[in-house]
Amino acid sequence: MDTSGLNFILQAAFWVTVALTISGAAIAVFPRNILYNVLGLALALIGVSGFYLYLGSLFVALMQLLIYVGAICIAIVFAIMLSRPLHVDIPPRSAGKVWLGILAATVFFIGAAGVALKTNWQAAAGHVYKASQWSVQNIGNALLTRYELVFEVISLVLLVAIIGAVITAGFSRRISS
Amino acid sequence: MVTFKVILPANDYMAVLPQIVLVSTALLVLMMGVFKKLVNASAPGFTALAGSLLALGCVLFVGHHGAPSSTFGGMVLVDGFSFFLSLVICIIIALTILVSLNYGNFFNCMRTGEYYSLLLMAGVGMIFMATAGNLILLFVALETMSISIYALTGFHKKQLKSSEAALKYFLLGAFGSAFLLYGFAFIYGATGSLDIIKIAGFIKTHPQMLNMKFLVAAFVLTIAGIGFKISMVPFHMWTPDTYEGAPTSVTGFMATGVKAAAFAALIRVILVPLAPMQHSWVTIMWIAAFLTMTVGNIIALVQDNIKRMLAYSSIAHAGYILLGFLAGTGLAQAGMLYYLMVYAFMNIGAFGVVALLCKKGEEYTSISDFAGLGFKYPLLGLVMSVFLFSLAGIPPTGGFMGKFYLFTQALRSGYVWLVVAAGVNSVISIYYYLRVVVVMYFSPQASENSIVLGSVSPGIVIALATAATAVLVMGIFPSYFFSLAGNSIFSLM
Amino acid sequence: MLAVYLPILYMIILALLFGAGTVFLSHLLGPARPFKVKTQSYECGIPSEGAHYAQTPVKFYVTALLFLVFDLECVFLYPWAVYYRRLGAFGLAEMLIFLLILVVSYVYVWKKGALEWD
Repeated sequence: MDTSGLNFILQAAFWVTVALTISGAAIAVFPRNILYNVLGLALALIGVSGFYLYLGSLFVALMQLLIYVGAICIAIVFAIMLSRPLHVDIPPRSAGKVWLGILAATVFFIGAAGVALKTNWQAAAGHVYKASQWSVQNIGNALLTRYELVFEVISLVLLVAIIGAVITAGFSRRISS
Repeated sequence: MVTFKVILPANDYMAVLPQIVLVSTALLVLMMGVFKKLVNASAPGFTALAGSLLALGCVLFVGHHGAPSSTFGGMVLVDGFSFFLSLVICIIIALTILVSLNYGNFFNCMRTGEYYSLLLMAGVGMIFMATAGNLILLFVALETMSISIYALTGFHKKQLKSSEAALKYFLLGAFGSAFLLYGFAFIYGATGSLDIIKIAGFIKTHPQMLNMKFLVAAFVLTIAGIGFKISMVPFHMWTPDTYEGAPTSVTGFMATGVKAAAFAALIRVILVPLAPMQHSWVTIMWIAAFLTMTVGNIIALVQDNIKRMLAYSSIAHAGYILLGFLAGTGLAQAGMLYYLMVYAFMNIGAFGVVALLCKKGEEYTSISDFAGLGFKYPLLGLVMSVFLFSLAGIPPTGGFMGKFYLFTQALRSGYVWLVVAAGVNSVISIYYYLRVVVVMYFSPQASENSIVLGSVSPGIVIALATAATAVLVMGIFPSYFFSLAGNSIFSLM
Repeated sequence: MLAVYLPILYMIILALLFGAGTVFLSHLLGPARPFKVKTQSYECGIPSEGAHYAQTPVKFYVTALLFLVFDLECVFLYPWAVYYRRLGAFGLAEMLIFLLILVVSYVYVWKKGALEWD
């Protein structure tokens, strides 16, 4: 395949990823059925993992799929299932809150976009982009040498999260009984 | 055949010795809690106490001598600042455990292994936050601390208020963490580094950076994230509900430890490295400090629940400490450190007294419950008065000296009106602190609802006595502690 | 560089086309003769009763959360595993500490009874 054709496909795939993310985000926000929201969120997260590929990190893209799409969305579905049936009578959206939300999101978007557009982006001195910098081997090396302390503290975070989950669940069981 | 070669990085493991001790104890305590048949029911608490004292000993033993340095490739900073805050946090952990040991006699769930384990783990997170030289470690440490505290907040298993508190804190706290992480990403984007020292160096050598909106956005997001943790107005909404719903021993821990660690992060990440851009944050922080003091004090005036009152008072105190942040000089930073130390003693003391006034499965938290306490239990009344006087900033307590230092430094840096506002606020605050003292000594005791001290273990006596003595000593002989704080400031060479 | 991922893209397109195509084809080709009993929701042949929605026990949630946490652990095992020969004994020691802390949490969960279904 010649380069221009290849570039066209890559460009097209990029915009498909953008469309996937934005439509997923829209589904995550607009429908009133919360299960659709979760599925939309999963779609948006898949789109984001596509962006990580475009940014050159296969590892982060894979982890995005594994953790966010695979685990966190599942956990959200379980959380919905153990909550009270929300879809029985869905209260109408209050217009005030919707406008407030739109306002907050707009302000944040304009702020972030303005900052990003106004910045004169330059590559940091001495930084040459190499795809191999983001290889899994390099990440493993960095994680266990330079970031070894972070690595060990992360295991503490996981431990604390497990204790928290078990305690919280035990708590709700007692309340319901 | 795989041949392993031993490459031991030249890391200074002594620098993280207190954390290692605390983690090991936490794991041990957690296992003691689940293997109930093998150990005594009160063993986890006492093991945790021993571990925290050992960690305190390690902090003092390792100490800090000589020039500031860093280890683990810049991950951990070894300097006076690390030493001072590790010391304060270890004291906070030990005092909290002493208070909890007694509190557990009223509430059985507070005697479990996981309670003490989470307490120690939160402490590890706090110490790492204060000693971190890298934004990633700082964030992971913050999460360790926060998740532990969320779980601890919901520890009153039979009270819906406690779970409401935990949920509120969790949702808003997670939101705050997201802001903080976004801010860190902006800092990385602007400076190309995650190492605090390198960030500071980059900003110093690239003064044109300071006009970049990018860095301002980084500042705003980071301050919002840390603002949640120090309950700075307008990010204070969760504070009263969470402080009220959480177990009182945890509230004391949360009010002192989290605040000490978060202020340490504020100094480490913003105050010192971003000091050249101070002109762009003066207005916003001026308003934030003013609102934090005023909102906290005004709303505290009308509280009838002592935990809520102390929650609003803790908001107000965050505002006083922000004066030091605004002043920004080395001496002001020393004032902040001194204040954090006094604040730890007086607040854990006040919450410790509240935690003592319980009966099985129930707490006395209404201020009217304190009626006549001063005559019925003279020593307890005296100790509580010391803490309240110190919180109000009345001499000869440490609270007065702390405010004095902070206000003086802010005046020297030219924040006259803000100091005037802080002074007015202090006067207002005297009203609601003294109201408790008045109720304790001058209110007739309601006979049918009088407090009878249930269990008073030696531990809590030691804790309250230590805290009260420390508050008085720091007020009467402040120069030693102030020079200790002055030697512990974080500055760049 | 991104061209290496093109097969994945083709694969996704193929999968989407196959999924959509089969649904569309069965809709097109299959006879549609609905009647009342046939359109009811199917529950093992027994007539269904009650609300279709039931609140799930919290057990499921704990399981999901534990899955999440141990899933995250795998994320950290993976980069170590592809590089462990060159990380040497020190890397192994670090990983053992990491695992020790997680084994403690595993023992905790086990002894707490969070893995039992009853």
